[in-house]
Amino acid sequence: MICQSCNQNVATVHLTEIMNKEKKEVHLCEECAKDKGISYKANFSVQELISHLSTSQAATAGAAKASAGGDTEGEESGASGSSQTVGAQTACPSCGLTFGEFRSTGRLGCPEDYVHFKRGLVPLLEKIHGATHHIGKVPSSTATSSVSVAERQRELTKIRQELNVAIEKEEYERAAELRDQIRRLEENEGAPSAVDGAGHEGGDAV
Amino acid sequence: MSDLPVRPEDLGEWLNGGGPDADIVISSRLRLARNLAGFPFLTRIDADQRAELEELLRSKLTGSRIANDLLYVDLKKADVIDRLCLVERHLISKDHASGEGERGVALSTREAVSIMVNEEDHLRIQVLRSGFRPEEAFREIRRVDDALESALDFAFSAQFGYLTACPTNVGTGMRVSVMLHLPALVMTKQIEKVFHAVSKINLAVRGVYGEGTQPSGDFYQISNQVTLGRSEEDILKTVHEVVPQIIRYERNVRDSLIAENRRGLEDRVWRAYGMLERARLITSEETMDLLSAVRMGVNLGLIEQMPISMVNELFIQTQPAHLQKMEGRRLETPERDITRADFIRKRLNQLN
Ligand SMILES: [Zn+2]
Ligand SMILES: [Zn+2]
Repeated sequence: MICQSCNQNVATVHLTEIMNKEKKEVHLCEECAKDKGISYKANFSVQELISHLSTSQAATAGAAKASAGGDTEGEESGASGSSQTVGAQTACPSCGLTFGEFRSTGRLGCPEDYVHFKRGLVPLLEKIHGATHHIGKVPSSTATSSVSVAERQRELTKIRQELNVAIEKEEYERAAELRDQIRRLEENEGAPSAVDGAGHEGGDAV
Repeated sequence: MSDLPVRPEDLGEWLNGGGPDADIVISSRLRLARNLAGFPFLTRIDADQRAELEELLRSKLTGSRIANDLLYVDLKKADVIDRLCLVERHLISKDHASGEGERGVALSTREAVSIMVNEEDHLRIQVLRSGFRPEEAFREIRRVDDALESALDFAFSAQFGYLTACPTNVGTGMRVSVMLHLPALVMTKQIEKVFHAVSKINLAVRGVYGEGTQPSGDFYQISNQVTLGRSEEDILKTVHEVVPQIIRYERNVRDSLIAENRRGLEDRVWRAYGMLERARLITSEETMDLLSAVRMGVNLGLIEQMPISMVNELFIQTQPAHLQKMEGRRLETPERDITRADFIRKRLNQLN
């Protein structure tokens, strides 16, 4: 079936419009549906959904309640005051992905992004899932190891925040020291383990 | 062509046509997305880490006791037709088949379980069942997940649950998909109502696609959208509340079609049968459409001599990769359409 609007692409969005008690079937391609502002999310690609949501999120960021509480990492303080929840340039210290890259691809780079981009992700998750906290299966192993893992993650996160500050202030010697600390922490503990602590920081516990 | 643990002649467990409500529900599928802690997601992984991850997961999977018959297929080395065969059986995704680099899939040859390695997430665990049996699939996938979790350290956060490359999967990482055959709702143009009703309760309806981008008519997949903030049991409960209503709706429409115009419906399904029995050239899209009508005819008792298992067999065996696999060679499109017509004719003539 061909899109009724552009008569070119394959129609993948199928709608029934009821206007003046008359039923009308509409068949559109994703692009034309998007142009018409039809947010039929079942037919939207994930990437479109995310870039759409995080753009509209930027517009409402000022009004949005401070969902991430005291967690200030990675915030870009724009002079205009209309800063996004996480700046596009903010990069994950672990995998190097920036929040801007995430917004354009819709894919995260590593488990730790959920910690570093938390302020940007929470409103997005709220829109996608209508929720920001997991309910359901918890791995049985976390019952025994989560405390130490969480502690280490918190310490790493703290040092990385300091690192960001040091880089912003152009204190390069301090930054090098902090990088060494991070490396030592990661090496001493072996391979980084499960990212925990995401639920322990900030003041947004529900 | 290499040896695949899946022979095109054999039907998988989920295609045997059994299970509750199998006249309308083709299959119930559960999928879990899992990633290992300590590795980046595949979007940011370098070549060395990717290879290391694949090796680690491969050894853990083959050393596990998930299933006695679990076999690992190295998809980097596998022949393109073998890879497409697995796609046609819904055992791996299209992206996984056409992807690059170290990746694979662990299969239980009964096809109850498939575990993709290095797809969008490090692991995509999938369990398929024929008919409407999401709970059974859930129990099986929970067992597999528990077994893997005892050997692997999954990335998990207290707040966000199981961490995934795409935030649409985070939390439980669970997707329940039920594949439905709804020819009567399509024929009477009532399918849009299902679309609308279902999208209001956070379930998604998608057309199931055949070859290329052409939607193949009467098959629809219903799945949960939300993975965060709702427990696995809760997600299953919604599916269990909604799907039976759609099944009932389709059955009611079928019944009224028979009551109002039995001859018209008979004509439609027998014409489809006749085309399949006589055609000399047939595309896979046309085959899907005709088989869909025949399938309904068989399920309504309008076509008596054909077992439903044979209809299901034809659905899978007439797809391009299966045809080529059975022929044992590459076939280009015009030749493929000839081979397909000959194959269907031969099978249907065995009934006479
Ligand atoms: Zn269009
Ligand atoms: Zn990262």
